[in-house]
Amino acid sequence: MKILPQRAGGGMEMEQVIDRYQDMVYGLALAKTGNRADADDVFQEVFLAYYQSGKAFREEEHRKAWLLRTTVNQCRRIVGSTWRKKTVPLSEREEIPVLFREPEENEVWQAMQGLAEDYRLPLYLFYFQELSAQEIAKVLSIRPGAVRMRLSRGREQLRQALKGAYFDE
Amino acid sequence: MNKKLIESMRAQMTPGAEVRAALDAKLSEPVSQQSVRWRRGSAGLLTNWSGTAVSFSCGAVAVCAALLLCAYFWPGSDQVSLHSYTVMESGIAGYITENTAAIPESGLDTGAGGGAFIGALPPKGGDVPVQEQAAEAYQKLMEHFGDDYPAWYGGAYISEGDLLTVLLVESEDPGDKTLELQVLEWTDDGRVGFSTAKYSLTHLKGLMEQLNELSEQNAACREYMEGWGIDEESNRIELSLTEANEKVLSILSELDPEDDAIYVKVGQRASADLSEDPVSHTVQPGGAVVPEGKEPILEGKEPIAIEPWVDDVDGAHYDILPAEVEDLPEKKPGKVQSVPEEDMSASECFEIATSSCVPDASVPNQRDSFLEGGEDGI
Repeated sequence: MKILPQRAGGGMEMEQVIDRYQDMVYGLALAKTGNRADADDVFQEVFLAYYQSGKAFREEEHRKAWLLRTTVNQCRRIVGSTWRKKTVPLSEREEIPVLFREPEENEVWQAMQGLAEDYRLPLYLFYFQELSAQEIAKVLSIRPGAVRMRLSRGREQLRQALKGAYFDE
Repeated sequence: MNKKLIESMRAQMTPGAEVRAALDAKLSEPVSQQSVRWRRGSAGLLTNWSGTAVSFSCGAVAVCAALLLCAYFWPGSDQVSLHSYTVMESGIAGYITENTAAIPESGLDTGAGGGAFIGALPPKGGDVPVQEQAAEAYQKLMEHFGDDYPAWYGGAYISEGDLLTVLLVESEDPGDKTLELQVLEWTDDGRVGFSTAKYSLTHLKGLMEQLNELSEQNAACREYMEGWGIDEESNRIELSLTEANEKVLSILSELDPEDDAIYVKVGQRASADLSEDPVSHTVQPGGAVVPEGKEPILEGKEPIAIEPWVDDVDGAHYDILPAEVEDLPEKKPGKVQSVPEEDMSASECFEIATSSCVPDASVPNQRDSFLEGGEDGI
């Protein structure tokens, strides 16, 4: 692989940044858009934006927060784009379902996708990215109290959808 | 949730190799040259143009110079650009220089001197307890600024719902939320919202200082400039003039070439309404108004009030009533007829009430106690 020019990073090479955060960005994009084609686009857009911004972060937490926030914004831009809605034929918009290896994984994924986005994203960031309520609040630009409320309600809805399965507590 | 399940799912939520390769390919491409913005003036034109266009630019500069010379010598071309202004029909309210003594308690720095200040944050410990959270967030934010405000800071104000709205100077990348995250971190995720602004607070403060100097050094400006202050909510300075003086407006136009950093209001200072008829009524001693068509009562010739005198009522018999009060009857009223008892046999309420009083035979204690009570009653 070619060595990428170090433009953004502040002491961390671009490739290292991608290696470190690609799963986080892609996972969040997948959770928000619900299909791999859009997640692929978001993934590329986020790291291109990061590369072109030339940002230097004093702390790694700031870089992580910036990438998460940009991912959310790019998802909104791609999913909510009127240009995309008008130009992509309906036949091509048939979304290929995200498939996991195990059936129970697919069951959990389907249950999560059935939740409203307000609940789905905090749950994803909490369980899959292991962010705190404070961090989720920053990523989603909402108050920590609202995050806790959404986590509580989302978890309850998820529990009902899964009929109580896969919950350790 | 089941942690192993989550970890297994997370491991599968990764971008494909083709996507990563496509990203790497895009990143390896040379960065497209960003277009350079045109700057004002011929010097800017020359510096921005490439070498191949130098000859063309020289020609263009020559044409521009010719046009400028023509414009200079053209009759009537000496018109000076004036700053725009708004005429306030209701007079100037606020911004009265006499009131400036109370300004420093408003909470925010408005620059030295000048006038009052709109959209101010509440005074610390003031009488606006609703805004305490936002004011606290503001104090936390200020703690992170040094002597000068950063270039990205456009000001702050408290909007409805106790929300501190921080103005961020417009950037080229609207998707960049680093500053928002930074401010949220500094304010401990207080009640903070964000909005964009064109001018930084530092720029507005610089303008304020220039206006202060103007009022001190220029007698014409001092005469017409009534008051001025930074309105952080509108991201501009509001300046009130007593008259739309061309000299002042031309100076303001130089200070604010884009005509949107200083909002100029022109109007007379608020005063008593002189359109009302002056008071022309004659007032008698004691404040009473003389009715129309009657002569006023002169002092010393007031009529003496005479009390009415009744011959047949003297002091000894003053409290005797003119008619005797009728005596109360000596006998007590007759026995009141008893009210006929209401037939409650058909009433559901009665049944419920009575049934609740009947003891349950299956409960011996209850029944016994009821019987005992009944016997006592008998």
